[in-house]
Amino acid sequence: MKAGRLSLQAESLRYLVPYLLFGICWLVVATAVRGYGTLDHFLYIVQFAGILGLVSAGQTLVIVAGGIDLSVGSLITLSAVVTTQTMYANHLAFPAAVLCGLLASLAFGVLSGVGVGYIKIPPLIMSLVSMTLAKGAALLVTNGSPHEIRAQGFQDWVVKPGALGINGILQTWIVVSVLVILLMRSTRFGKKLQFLGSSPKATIYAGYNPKTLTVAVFALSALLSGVTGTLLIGFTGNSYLGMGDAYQLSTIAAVVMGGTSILGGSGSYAGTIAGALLLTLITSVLTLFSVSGGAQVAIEGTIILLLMIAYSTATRVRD
Amino acid sequence: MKASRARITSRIPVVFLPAAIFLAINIALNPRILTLRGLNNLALQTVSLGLVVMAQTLVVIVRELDMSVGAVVSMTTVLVASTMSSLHVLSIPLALLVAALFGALSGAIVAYARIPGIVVTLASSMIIGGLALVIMPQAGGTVDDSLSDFVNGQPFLVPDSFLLLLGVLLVWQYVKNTRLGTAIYATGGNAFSAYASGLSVAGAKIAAYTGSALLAAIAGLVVCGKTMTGDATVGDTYTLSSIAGTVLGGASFMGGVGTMAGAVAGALIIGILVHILFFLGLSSHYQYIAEGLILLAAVSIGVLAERRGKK
Repeated sequence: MKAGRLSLQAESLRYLVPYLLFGICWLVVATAVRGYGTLDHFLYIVQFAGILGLVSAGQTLVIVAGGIDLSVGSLITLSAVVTTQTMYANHLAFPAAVLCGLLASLAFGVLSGVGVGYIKIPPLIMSLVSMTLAKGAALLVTNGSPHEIRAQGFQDWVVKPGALGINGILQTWIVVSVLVILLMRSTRFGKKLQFLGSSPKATIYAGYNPKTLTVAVFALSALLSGVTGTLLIGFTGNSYLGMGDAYQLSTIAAVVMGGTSILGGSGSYAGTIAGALLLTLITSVLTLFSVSGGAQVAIEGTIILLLMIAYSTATRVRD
Repeated sequence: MKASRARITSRIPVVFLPAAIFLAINIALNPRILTLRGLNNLALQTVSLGLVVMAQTLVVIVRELDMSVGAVVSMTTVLVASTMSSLHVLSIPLALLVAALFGALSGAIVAYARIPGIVVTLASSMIIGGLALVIMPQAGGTVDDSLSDFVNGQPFLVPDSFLLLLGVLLVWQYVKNTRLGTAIYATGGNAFSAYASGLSVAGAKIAAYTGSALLAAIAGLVVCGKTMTGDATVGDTYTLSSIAGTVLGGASFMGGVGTMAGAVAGALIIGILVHILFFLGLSSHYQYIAEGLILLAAVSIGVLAERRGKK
C-alpha cells in the first residue's frame, strides 16, 4: 500500500517535471533574449504549440494503449490535400470538403486499428503501412500538385485573435485538451486504454474487447490528425505534400517529454501539453539562432534519447 | 528443439513461393531478364536492398527493430562523398567506423537502459539523419570513379557488389555457429534462458545493432557507387523496405527466427516486384501504394502463418 502511494507520488511528479523544465527554459530564454518572455511571446509559443499539441493528443492515446502511431504526419497531409482538392476540383462547399478530408484520414485510422487489433500486426509496422498508403493516396488524389483554399472566414478564425483574444488553433486546442484529459481520467474508456497498454490479456479478463478498443484509439488519433490538417490549411492558406511530415516524430518527442511511458499503460495528456510547449520553445530558440533544419532534428532526437534514458533509469531506481 | 525446427520449415514456402511466382511473372513479361545482362542488372538493383534487409533481419532475430538503417545509408553516402576528395580510399573505413559507432551506441542504450529498440533507433535516426543534413544540406560531393567501377564492375561474370552479398552470407555462416551467433538467436528466442545459460544478452543486442549499422553502411557504399553523389535523404525509403523484406524473408517479430539467405530472398521479391511495376509502366505515384501493400501483405502473411504454426 505504501509502495503504491509512493509510486503514485512519483507518477504525478513525473508529469510535473516537463512543466518545471518548461519554466526553467522559459526563464533562461526570457532573461537571455530581448523581446522574449513577454505575454505576447507566451501566446505566440502557445499558439504554435497548439498544432503540435493537437496531433500529440492522438499520439498520447495510442502510446498509453501500448501502441505507436507513425502515420500522424501523412494523415495531416492527406486530410489537408483531400479538403483542398475536393473544394478545387469537385467544387464542394468548404464544410463538405473538410468532412471529406476528415473521413479520408479517419479511414486510414480504422485501417491501422483493424491491422493492429484484428490481424495482430505490430502497431509500429501497421502505422508504417498506413503512412505509406496515405502518402500514396495524397499523391494520387492531387496528381502531385495540391491546391490552395479559398475560405476567408475560416482562415480568419484560425489565424486572428477572436474570443478571449486567442485564435482558432488555441480555442480548438483548449477544447480538445479538456475533452482528452476528461476522457483519460474520468471515463471507462480511459481506464480501458491503460488496461490495454499494460496488459492486453488483463483487458480480456476485465471483460473488454481489445480489438474494438484498438480500432477506436487509432481512429481517434487519425481524426485528431485530420483536424490538425484542416487547421493547418487555414493557417497557411495552402496545402502541400509533406506538410505534416515534421509531426511524425515530434509528436513522439512531445509525448515522451511529457512523461508518458513509451511502453504503454501509463501516461497523461497534461504531461504531453507541457512536452509540446517545451519542444516548441526549444525549436523557436533554435530557429532564432538560425540553427539549420538538420541540426534541429538532430537536437530533437538527442533530447528524446536523453529523456528516455533518464525516465527509464528513474523508473528502475524506484522499483 | 523439434518445435523450433518445425517452425523454421513451415516458413520456407513463405519465402520462396512468392519469389518464384514473381520471378515467373517477370520472365513472362520480359524474357530478356533471363540473359546474363538482365540477371546482372537485377542483381545490381537488389544488392543495396539485400544488404539493408540483412541488417534489419539481424536485429529482428534478437527481437528488436532498427528504424535507423535508412539514416545510416544516407549518412554513409554523405560521409563518403564529402571526404573522398581528400581522404580517397580511407573515407570508406571512416564511414564504416562512424556507422559502427552509432550502431554500438544504439545497441548499448537498448541493452543497458532497457528501452525498446524501436524508439531508441527512431531517435537515433533523427540524430544520424539530422547530422547528415548538416554535413551536406544539398546532394552533391565527389566520389572517386574507382568506387563506381568496383560496384558496377563485373570481372567475374557477376557484379562485384553481388559478390559482396555472398561475402556477407559467408561471414554470417561462420558467425552463426560461434558463441556470439548462438547468443544472438537465443536472445531473440528466450532472453531469460539465454541469460541463464551464461550467454550475454546485452552483448548479443549490441552486436546485432552494430552489425546492422555496418551492413547498412555497406549498402550506403553501394548506393554511393551507383549514384556517385552523397545525399542526406537517399536512404529514407530503405527503412520501410528493409522491414518488408525481413518479413518476406521469413523472420519473426517474436525473435529467434530468421536467416540471411531468407533475407536475400525477401529483398529479391521486392526487387522483382519493383521491376514488374516499372515494366507495367505504372506512374511513380503508385510507388507508395505498391510499397505499402507489399508490406501489409508480407506482415499479414507472416503474422497469420505464425498464429497457425502455434495452434
